[in-house]
Amino acid sequence: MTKQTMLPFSGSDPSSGREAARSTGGVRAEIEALDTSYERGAVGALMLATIEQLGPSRLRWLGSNDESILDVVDGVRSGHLPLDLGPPPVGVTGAGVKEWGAQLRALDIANLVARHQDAGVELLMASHPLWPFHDDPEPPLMLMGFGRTSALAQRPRVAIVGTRTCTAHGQRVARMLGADLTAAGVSVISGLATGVDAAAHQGAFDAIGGVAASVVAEAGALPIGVVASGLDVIYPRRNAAVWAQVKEQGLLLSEAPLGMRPRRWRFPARNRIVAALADVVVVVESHVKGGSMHTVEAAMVRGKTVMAVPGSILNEAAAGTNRLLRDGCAPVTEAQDVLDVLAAEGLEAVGNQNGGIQGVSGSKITNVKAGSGRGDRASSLDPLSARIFREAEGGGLHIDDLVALLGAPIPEILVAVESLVGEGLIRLDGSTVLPANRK
Amino acid sequence: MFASVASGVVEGVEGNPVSVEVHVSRGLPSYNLVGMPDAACRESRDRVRAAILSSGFRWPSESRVTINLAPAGLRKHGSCLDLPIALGILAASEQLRVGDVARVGAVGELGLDGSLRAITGLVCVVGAVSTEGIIVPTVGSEEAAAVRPGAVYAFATLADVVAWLRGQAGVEPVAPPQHGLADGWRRKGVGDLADVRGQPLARWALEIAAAGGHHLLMSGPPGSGKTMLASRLVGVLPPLDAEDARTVTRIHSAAGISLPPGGVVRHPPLRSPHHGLSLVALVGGGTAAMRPGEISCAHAGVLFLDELGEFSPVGLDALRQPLEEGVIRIARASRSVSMPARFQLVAAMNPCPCGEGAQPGACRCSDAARARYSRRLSGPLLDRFDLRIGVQPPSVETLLDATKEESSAAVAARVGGVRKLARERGFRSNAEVPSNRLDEVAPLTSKARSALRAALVDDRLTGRGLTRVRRVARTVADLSGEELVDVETISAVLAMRSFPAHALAVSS
Repeated sequence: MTKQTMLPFSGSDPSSGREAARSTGGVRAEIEALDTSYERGAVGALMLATIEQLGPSRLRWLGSNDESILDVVDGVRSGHLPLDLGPPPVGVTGAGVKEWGAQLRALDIANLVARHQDAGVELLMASHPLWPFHDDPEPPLMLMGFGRTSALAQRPRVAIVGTRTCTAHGQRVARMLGADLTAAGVSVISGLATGVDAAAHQGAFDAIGGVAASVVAEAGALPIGVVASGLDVIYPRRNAAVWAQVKEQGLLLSEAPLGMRPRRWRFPARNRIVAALADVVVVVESHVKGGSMHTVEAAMVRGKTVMAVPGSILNEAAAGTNRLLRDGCAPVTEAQDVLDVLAAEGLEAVGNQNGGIQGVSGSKITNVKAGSGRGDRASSLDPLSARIFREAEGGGLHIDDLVALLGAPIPEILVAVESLVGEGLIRLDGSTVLPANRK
Repeated sequence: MFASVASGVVEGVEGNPVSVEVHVSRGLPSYNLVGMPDAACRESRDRVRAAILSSGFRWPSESRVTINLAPAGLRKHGSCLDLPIALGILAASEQLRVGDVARVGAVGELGLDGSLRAITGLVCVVGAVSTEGIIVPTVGSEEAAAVRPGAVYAFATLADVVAWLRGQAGVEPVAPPQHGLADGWRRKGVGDLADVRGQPLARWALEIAAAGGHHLLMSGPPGSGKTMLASRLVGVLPPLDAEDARTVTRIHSAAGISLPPGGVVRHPPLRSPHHGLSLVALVGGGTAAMRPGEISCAHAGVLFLDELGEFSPVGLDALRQPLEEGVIRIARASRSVSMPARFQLVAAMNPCPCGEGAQPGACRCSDAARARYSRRLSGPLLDRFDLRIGVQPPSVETLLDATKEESSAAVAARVGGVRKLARERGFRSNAEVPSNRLDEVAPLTSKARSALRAALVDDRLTGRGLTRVRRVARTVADLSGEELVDVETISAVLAMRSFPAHALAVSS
């Protein structure tokens, strides 16, 4: 309570602060003067969101869905918060509020609005007809959207998440699921990080590439990416192509205004939005302690179904997912497992009904799966090579372990390994046999 | 009076003859040392004066002393000229007969009490002095005697030298160290391969590397035994032949490395410099002496670079020329020196900065850190490793397994056999077979040829890599007693050239 009393609330009359602000014109007049199609309330929320120190819970405390948010903006700027805000979240101090005020006073509102408008950023708030967070325990105050907002109308939505340092195997699974689910009419959500996230969307693009865009839109399979930094601050840089493609073919969302750097705390905040948007969360590969586990927790809090892809018990990157399975999560061995769970929850995928999935999988998805051509070649291998191929597919094994496992002399194993590498069935990396990279 | 004493100085790993001329005459008392001496050489004045006085001789204090170190154009450095200067002064001041000192050469540093001290590069200097007898300090006289048998006389003090020159004491030349290999040729202090548990791939690669003199790169997480394996390589290499033994002894002497008892290096040296070493320390040069670097010290032996990724890229690139030619040429403004540097390169590295990259999903490095790490090793350098393998820590079961692993002696016997075959073909080792003779020395079966073609077409092999694969294949075929290089041999060798990159593939 002491913290609250230290805050710079204005006088004893709850309405005096607002009256004072309104009388001086305040931010309302400034926005009035701008040539903008944005709602005035949305501009206010945008302004608050530019303050570095404001995370989701502080924004929720300060913000509202109507124009009264502008009184709060005035209050922060002048150092006199409206009294009817209610108790502040833990950690808010008078000095902190003053610092926010300084940032707001230094803000060039016209420039801020113009930048967002020129870039084509849509400001989504609870008033938006497709706002998906009405029942959420921690809804964002506002989301910036890039691309097709209609993606939010789609159901079902499945989040495919996992570690950034995934194995080649995990990457392949993520891509396969992304493609098959998209083809089945499921909108794939991910966080646009490297590793599993990027691979899942890559898979979605694989599937979309195989069908006409109109069919995809009809089937409701636009990919959705939720990022932690401003929509123009591409992080990590190497994912630039994936960002561009999600924006082009689907919807890119962020809680941060343009230009905001990806601060550490923004990633778990982003993960909660991923979980909130999804009907089912699929974890492909995760360490025991990893960012994906934040997503899992957020999904569980919201009562969403969490599913996990089983991995080798020797694969550290699959330790988290295997633990989820042990704790009772449903396993995913193919996209149909996810579709079944969705169906059981009354969320039939659209593409399933109109036969879209067959049309797609005939052209593109077979490539994404193990590859039928490769499967044929693999089936004609001699027993030793077949064993090695299976071990590689199962997550990789060092040649020393192959020697111990198969009991064959080293030269013989090396010969078999080399012929598998030559045929492109496996890959050799640091004398460890690994599943081949898909071309 | 005038006197001249033959001596020499070291440059690189070669000795250069120097003639010390001393002239003592009436005149204003003075002492002049000319002939491009360096600081240590110039300071000889004070050591020589004190040594002469404390040995009970007379310093020509009322005379003009001029010392010339000929040839005047050659830079002289170090303290090895102390003794010839002292002898020259004693002769020129008529305390010794000029004819007596003219017959012998002398090298050695003097202490203020007149004692004779060891010098670095004694072996090189002794080889350069052509007089019938050479006076050297007792310490290191054995190694000198190996170069000039029967001509080396060892003394502990200046007074002893003078007594011998005056004919007051008889001294026998130092007996050269016994050649041939005494009890068990394997060097003490080198671990045995029997201590290595499991790791069949690494053991096999090590045996091939030893048998053919091939360069080996091991990548693996910390604690996977890379250093342990590398240090055992020299234990299975055959001893040096007479010529290499002489060269290596000369290099080690010039570098100031303490020589083994007996004075001659008979075993392939193992040099494992720390990754913080400077470029000069690695390739040689630097001081006026042009001291040999680590790569020369590893001549005819093994240069082991642990934590290859931590070495400076400049240093690593400097290895390329000696790797190709077996010689390092160092040019400075005034002169250039070439030193032998035919070494077998063995390197170890972690797969990524955190070291865990080889285990699926275990790496915790950021993308940027991994990219930086892999950028440090240039493709051309990696391509020069004949064998590139990954090692992983042996499993717990293997560590506790009681079965005896093969010992170094058994491996060394096979290694020796392959080396013998190479010598019969006219090469020191299979690694030195020139590419234009590979068709004759390592003939391929038609299947082996098409396997190589496939690897080249797939870009899994470069032109340089092709030559290296064929040399290694020769060694593998030799180990299994085959004349032709068949497709199985080629395949096995190709499978031992996997890139050291970690198992993670996060790029999309």
